[in-house]
Amino acid sequence: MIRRLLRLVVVVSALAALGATPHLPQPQTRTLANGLRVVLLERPGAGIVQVQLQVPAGLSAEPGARSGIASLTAQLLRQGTTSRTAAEMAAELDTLGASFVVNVTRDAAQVVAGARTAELESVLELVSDAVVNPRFDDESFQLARRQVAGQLGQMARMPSALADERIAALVFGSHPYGRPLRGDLESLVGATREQAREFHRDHWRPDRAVLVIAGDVDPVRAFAATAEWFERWSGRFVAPPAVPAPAARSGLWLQDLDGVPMAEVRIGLLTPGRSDPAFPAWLVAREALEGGRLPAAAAVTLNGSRDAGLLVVSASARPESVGVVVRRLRRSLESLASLPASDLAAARRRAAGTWAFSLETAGQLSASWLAGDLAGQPATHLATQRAALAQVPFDGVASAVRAGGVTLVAGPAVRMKGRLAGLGPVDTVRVGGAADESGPSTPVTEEQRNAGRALVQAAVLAHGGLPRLKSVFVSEATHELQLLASGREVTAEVRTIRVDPDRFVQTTRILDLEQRQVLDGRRGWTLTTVGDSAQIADADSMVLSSWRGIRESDVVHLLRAAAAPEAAAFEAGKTRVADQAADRVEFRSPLGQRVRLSVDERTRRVVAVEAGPTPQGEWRDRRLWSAFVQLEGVWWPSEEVRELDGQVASRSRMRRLLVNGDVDTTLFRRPLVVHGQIRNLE
Amino acid sequence: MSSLRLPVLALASLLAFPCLALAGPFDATRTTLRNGMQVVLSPDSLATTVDVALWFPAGSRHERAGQQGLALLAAQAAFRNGASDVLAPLEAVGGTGGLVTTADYTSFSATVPADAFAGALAFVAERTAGRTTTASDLATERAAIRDERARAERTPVQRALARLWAAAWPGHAYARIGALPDAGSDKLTPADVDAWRRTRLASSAAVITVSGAFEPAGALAAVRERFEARPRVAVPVVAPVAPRAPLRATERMDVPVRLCLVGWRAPGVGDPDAAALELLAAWLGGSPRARLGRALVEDWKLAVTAQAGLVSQQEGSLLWTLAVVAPDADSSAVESTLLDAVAGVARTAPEAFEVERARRQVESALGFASQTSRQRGQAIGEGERLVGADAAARRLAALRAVTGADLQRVAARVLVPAGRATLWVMPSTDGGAR
Repeated sequence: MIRRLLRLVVVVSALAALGATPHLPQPQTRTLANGLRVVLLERPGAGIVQVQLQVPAGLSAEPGARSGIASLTAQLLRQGTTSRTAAEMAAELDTLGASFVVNVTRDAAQVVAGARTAELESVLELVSDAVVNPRFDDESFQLARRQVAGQLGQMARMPSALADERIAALVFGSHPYGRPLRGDLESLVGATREQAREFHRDHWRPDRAVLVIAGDVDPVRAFAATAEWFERWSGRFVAPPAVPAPAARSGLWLQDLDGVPMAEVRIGLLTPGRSDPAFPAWLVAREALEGGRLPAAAAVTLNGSRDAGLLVVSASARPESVGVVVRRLRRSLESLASLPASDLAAARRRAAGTWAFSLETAGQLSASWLAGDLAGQPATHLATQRAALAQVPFDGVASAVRAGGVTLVAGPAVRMKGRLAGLGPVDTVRVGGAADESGPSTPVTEEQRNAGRALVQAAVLAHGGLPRLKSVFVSEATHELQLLASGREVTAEVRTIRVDPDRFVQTTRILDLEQRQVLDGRRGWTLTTVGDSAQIADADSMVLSSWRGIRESDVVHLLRAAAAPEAAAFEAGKTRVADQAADRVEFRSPLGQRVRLSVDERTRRVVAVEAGPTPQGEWRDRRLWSAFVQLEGVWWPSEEVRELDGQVASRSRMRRLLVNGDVDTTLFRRPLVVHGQIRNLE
Repeated sequence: MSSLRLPVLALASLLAFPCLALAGPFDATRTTLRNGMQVVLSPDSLATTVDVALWFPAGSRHERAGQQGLALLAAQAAFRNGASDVLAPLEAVGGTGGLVTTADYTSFSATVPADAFAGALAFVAERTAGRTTTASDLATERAAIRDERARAERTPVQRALARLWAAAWPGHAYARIGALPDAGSDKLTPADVDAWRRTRLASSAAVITVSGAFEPAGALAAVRERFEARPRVAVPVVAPVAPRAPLRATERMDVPVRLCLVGWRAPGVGDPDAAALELLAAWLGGSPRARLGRALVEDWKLAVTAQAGLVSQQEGSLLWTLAVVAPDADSSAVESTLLDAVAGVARTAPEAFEVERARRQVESALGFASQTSRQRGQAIGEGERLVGADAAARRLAALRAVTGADLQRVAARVLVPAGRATLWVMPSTDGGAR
């Protein structure tokens, strides 16, 4: 009897919760002359204050070719100012007992600082200095880049983090929300100090910024201090080009992570963004899942950005059990489409209760208020969200769930073989030269095959003949590489060593940043050094596969592969390269990748290489070869232009080539890196 | 009938009255019920949640010989109270609950949205008026503890600190602080568990804290209704156990570099010097620029990082220092430099600005860790249980009064060889940095 009554009380209380509004702080807002909005959320008695400055300088502001620049720029704000070194800044924060972090999301970048209330003015001065006068010198830039490289290296060792990143990329597609928050190593290597300075100049501006001060503060004092330290901030925000909203996608994707003990399963659904009145329905959906609809040990997350959101259900699984786990997760998601009224009411209750826990701290208050503000909601939106949870229609969730989402399985493909049968067609998450299961869109005729074999034979002869090509077992080439991104050039030195049958080293050096990718049979690693500091990250199977593709992409390996019977070469039409007519021949590489060579009609040399078309059959990546030189009887291209989607992405010129020479075998001994220092070789 | 009236009254009062705000984060009012139960109310009109917690004098140091593990077993059995999903009623309203058992106390808590107070109170009350423990209950709890042991993931530093406690407090229950949970001897019976629940987990022995969004008068009435009629139970007195002399030890762990840990046994949380000790630890190693970091990392390059901290219990504390040793550093140079840096404070009082820096760090950390209803409830409840009335608020006031001379005096009192334990953690294999 007592228990029944207790349960009744809980239920009655919960129902009451939906109708009541707690005493939330009323936002007090001022706008400075430069356009900066200052919002105060008073929380008397706490003795502390949190300052959170937000600018719309997240992923959605990144130019397409500069993935990761938002994060790198934000990191630079911690590396000192024009009047303070990074060490002096850290010392001042230490003296104040203050925290200072930067953060980048899909829509925004933030500086968050906290301290005792007594230190408010000092904290505001420090935040202002960091935002208005960042140092942006070379030393700071290299340090920030090293930190991001370290973070990327850590992430590369975490299958769970990799899967989280990939599911976002799959669900959001080409929309900026699909980019990795910190970019990738390739974009990091290509990033320049000027790009960061430019990004800061265009996007870290007061007219679109909001400064929220939450905590135990006196409004008069807080507004006065803000005016004192932020009025000097000037400039106008440069809006990034508008991009179409992401479209809902579906399908089953496999990401091979060789050697990891567990597989990661993710099912992602595109949801409305926070700016959409339907978004609260997805908060209810998350609670419905958490309230008992998910299988044991599964989890659900909901990330609501301004223009779109992402709901992900996830679980770790033994590779042999991934099929069962995918089915269970799908069933739990599908159950949202026919949620009984009582379950929906319970989910709404849970959502309202959970909402109360999201506004307890100064940081939570600031973050919740800023998220709503970014989505265009009124200043008082915190007070209305609870009611929205009780009333928002659920139909949109049901229809989205019925349409299905994107399923990603990341784990050791060998152990998962056959476990995904019956779940739908499987696509492979490809990186570089990873295997590609697609084929030509139309059937290949015998005539094409004969013509293809003849073309390959002619090209082989034009490059020195098969015996000469097969006699090359070691090559070491040094190139000067010009990377072109958004009209800017970065020069790098790239040294590539290929040792048959299965070794490869590629060292890229830009200023004092050096990245060495080493493939040694079935293992590999990336050693990144900046100045005297080093980071090492072991390569997963996906990365190894990519490197194998690069290893096989020189003229010697390509022609040897094309000449093999199993390559099934065929003639694939005509084209023009550098105003010269060329014949195209397509074949499948030993790694299973589709490759297309353009053979000059006159010289019969290979003048263009394309590899790995998209599932839609688009060949987006093309390398143009010219200026052939002869060494050891083989004709090698000494110049290469790389095009992505028809745009020049890089140019390289060979400066040095060694064939069948001695190789420094210590390159294949994995270094031991301890606290950023190379201590030894294994 | 009285059962029915109670929750309805409590609910009605919640909806009828506005909340009250208090000036400080740990301000509270106290009432002692007729059976001895202490009620501590800390309302906050701007909170969105409310936390209700019971605090019992039931820690592992109250176990008798042969009873090791009983405190946790009994606490878990009481908290589960036969339920298959113990937190379900709280989670249904978006709330949560928890159980904490330390060397000094056991606590049950329920944290819920502001207007689900009655449910939270009912939840904790049910845990103290529960069913008799069965052999099956005991087996369930043992399995749960073993499962927790198996799943526990601790960093090398956490494991090293647990070993330092063992070296600093040998022969005392505090030697097990930080160790993996213990499922207890198979000789412990349901009767042992029930005896513990009747005495140490009795309502009359408890402090109940309510913090966050609630109306004090209604809450106090609801607490009275729930608990005041329950019998007063005498709590057995356990004589303090004197620990043996601290030890010097060496451990091998799966760490890439050597760790040097030196800890000192210090007075308990209720000692008048507790605030000075807290600041002393922050002054020594609360940040990279504190005394240890400057000496071991910046000046002598003997360590990669150096830290210090204070973990306080009722009968004593551990002031710990840690140096993550640089790969090519000499071990004895590391240890002697660490000890010299520590000894310096007993010779020369820190400058006022240094004390102020440490104070800012401690106060700021405390402020940010006391924002939620649960966090404030934890601070207030632990203070009331271990020290006495208003301990959390007095701790803040005491921190503000500490001077450099206080640090020098407390260093001379505590940082002495007789109270010192040393632990060296060595890599289990060379080249473990991979």
